[in-house]
Amino acid sequence: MKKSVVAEWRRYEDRYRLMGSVCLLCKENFFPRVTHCVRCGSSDVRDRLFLREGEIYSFSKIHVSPEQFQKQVPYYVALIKLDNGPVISSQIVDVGSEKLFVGMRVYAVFRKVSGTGEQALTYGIKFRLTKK
Amino acid sequence: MNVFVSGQYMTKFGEHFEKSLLDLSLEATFGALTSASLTKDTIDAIVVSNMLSDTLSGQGHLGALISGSLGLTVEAFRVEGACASGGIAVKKAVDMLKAGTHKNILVLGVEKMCDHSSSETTQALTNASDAEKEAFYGITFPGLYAMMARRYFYEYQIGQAELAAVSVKNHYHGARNKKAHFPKEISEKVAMTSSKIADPLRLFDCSPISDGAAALVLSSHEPQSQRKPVRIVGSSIATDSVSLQERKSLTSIKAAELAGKRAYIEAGISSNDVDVAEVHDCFTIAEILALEDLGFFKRGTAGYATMQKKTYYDQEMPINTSGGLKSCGHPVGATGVKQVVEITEQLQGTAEGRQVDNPQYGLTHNVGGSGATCAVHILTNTL
Amino acid sequence: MKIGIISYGAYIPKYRVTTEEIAGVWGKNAEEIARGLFVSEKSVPGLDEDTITIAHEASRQALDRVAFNPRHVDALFVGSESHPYAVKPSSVTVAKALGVGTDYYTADLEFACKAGSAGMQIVSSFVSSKKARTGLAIGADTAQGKPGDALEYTAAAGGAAFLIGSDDYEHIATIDDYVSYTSDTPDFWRSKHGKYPHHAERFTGKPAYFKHIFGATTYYLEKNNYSPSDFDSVIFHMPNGKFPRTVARALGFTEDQLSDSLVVDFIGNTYSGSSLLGLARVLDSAKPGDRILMTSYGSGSGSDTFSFTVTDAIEKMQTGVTVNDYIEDKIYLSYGEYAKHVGTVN
Repeated sequence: MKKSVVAEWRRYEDRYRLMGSVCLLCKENFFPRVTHCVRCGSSDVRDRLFLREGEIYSFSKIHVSPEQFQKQVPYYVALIKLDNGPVISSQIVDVGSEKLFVGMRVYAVFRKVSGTGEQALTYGIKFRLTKK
Repeated sequence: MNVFVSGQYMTKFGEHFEKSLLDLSLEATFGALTSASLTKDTIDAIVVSNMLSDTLSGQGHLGALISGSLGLTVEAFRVEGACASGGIAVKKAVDMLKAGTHKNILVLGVEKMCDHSSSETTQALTNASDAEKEAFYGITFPGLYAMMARRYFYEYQIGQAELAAVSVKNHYHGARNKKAHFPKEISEKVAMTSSKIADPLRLFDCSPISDGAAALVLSSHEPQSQRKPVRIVGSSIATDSVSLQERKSLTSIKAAELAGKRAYIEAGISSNDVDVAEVHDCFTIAEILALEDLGFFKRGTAGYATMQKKTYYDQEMPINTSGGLKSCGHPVGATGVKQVVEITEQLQGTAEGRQVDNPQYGLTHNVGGSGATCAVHILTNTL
Repeated sequence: MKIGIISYGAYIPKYRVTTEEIAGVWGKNAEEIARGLFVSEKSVPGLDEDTITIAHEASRQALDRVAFNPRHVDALFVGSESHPYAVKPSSVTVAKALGVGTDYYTADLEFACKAGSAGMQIVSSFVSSKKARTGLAIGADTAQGKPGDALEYTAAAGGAAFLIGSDDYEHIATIDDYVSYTSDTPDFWRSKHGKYPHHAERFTGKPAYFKHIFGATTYYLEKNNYSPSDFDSVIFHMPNGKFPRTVARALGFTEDQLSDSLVVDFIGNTYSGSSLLGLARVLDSAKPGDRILMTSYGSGSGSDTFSFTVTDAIEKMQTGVTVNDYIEDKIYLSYGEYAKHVGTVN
């Protein structure tokens, strides 16, 4: 199915900046943003900009991808535990000879996610390995 | 109220280039009716399980499509819960029979996946993950299970050899099932050196893309056929977040644990009483998680148990005697229904070449997505 | 009112391809080329990097260095010759990702390799006219060289951003003055739908690069009554390593005054990012009181000259990531991988 530019545009705030939500009642963090707390059901949620650092919770190197990511293979995907936020899904980029492991430190960068040529480009947050 | 499996049938799973979605559906339907010694006019409702017909066949409205193709006018509808669609369909039919509104329900699971390139089919399957949180970043289905595997490796110190053992065992079983998509044995070396799909998962850690259909006739009265009567005595569905990032653990599937627990309670048995099980091995790691979620093995030990061959059909805990999704094939909507077909045959003693020794209780475990939906059924031949 | 640089940031992608690797593919003598261009390797964008992401990263570094609230950015201009879209601004995506808000002046700029310094002039003028208190001027490019063309050895990726503001803010360097020297000169161009630029070979030298840099710089020196020896550092646009050295000598600057700026030796020509990256590298090691002169060059053609006076505030700013850190952090690509990165293979 062709991507809807409208559906992408709706999410710019969370996609571009790690903008999530915090429940003011039970303090649970969410990313991307929610309108109601998934945990306690409260609608008393506020925007919260999470810090751009965290560590790898789990990861995989994708060798076979959907059509729109075929020019990027192989690439790393990961679950990242943000230092002051929840676990989120993304990619790890600019990996050279380093061997990834659970617990490895990473920081957020702004990158192109998909789209080429005549398609609208989509951008989002990915992660890079933190230097020691 | 009892629920009986009156009839069951599965088409050969594989590449059916010459057959349409409807052709496969009708073959399975008439196969199940013949097995039940019933005519189509005795069917009073149809539940269809299918995930991808809208995307891959440009066809929705499957309930009426099947009913109309059978010349019937009965209540008919389709259910969808990704790869767990089949288990959901069985549960819905069980609920309707228990409610007493229907007597003979046709449960049909069907999927037509081979009409398209694998990248198109993979793309369609990705719809079962969270579109905004996961698929957006290029995280594929194998990628999600690979991250579960990676986390399992980290928490329990196992590796690729344990995963390969699952694949080798399921191919050993599949080689004894004529209807399997890939009915041939493989070596550990083949599994461990096959091409990488989503590290650490390789080709032989992944179930294939298949065409196929499976059908059941479920009845509220004891069937007329000569075979041993088989009843569904536990039927449960549980759900959890679609995305992995919201789960508390990656090394167990909460929906599977819950569905299993509820089904055991309903059946009045424990995991020790289960003699044979069909579990959802869409990826090898998924079978290891299933064995632990269902209580067959302690946390962190299912990989080792598999290496020790404990899950072969003639050993202590036979798992996936059909060949599982890995070797038997995985036409998504058909899988959950096919699992009940296999367990019914095991309980009737007709699983030629891979028959478990005198089983009394069998279990099916059907998972949707990366674990967001799980349907568990318990069947028995005891009275 | 004094205007000046509040902060700056730089970014260079991690990937490199060597002159030797490229020359090998075309059967050329790598040593001779490297000696002629003074370029032995160049930076290459990641598969998911473009002018927008490079501009964003450099800007974010600039804001982070002084913990600057992005909402206080009043203007933002991205200069590039490789904006990802022909129609749809890069600047709005950069601003959105930085969290600038909605009340800012913006546009995308294009003037070959001097679009970044043109942005610095525009922001400086906005601040001088008090329409804005601060603004980001960004030069970023993922430059394309046609396979087999001489440009292939130098067309690189990178960018730098300068946060310029009024004296309501602390400056690390004041902007003394700026001028331009411009003419219609057809030395280099890319057509509306063309993927690669064309150039007029030797014509790009004397009547183009040298004439404009010479023109702008001498005009600036005369206007402000400066002589070359008044400056501690100087930056000239770097299409290769040879041209800035030649023009510096001709204008009466020493190798010492020029050397800190020469990022080209390590990463090639980052087009709109080139002179700005040179300035960032000079600021990385500048001392209070230093005088810096910069002249950019953009084909077509024009040159912008600026001079800056470094303040005491520079010392507390020289922490964090430096241009050299980016230069040294690298992964080498084969020509095949390089072709995948720059989209030659599709």
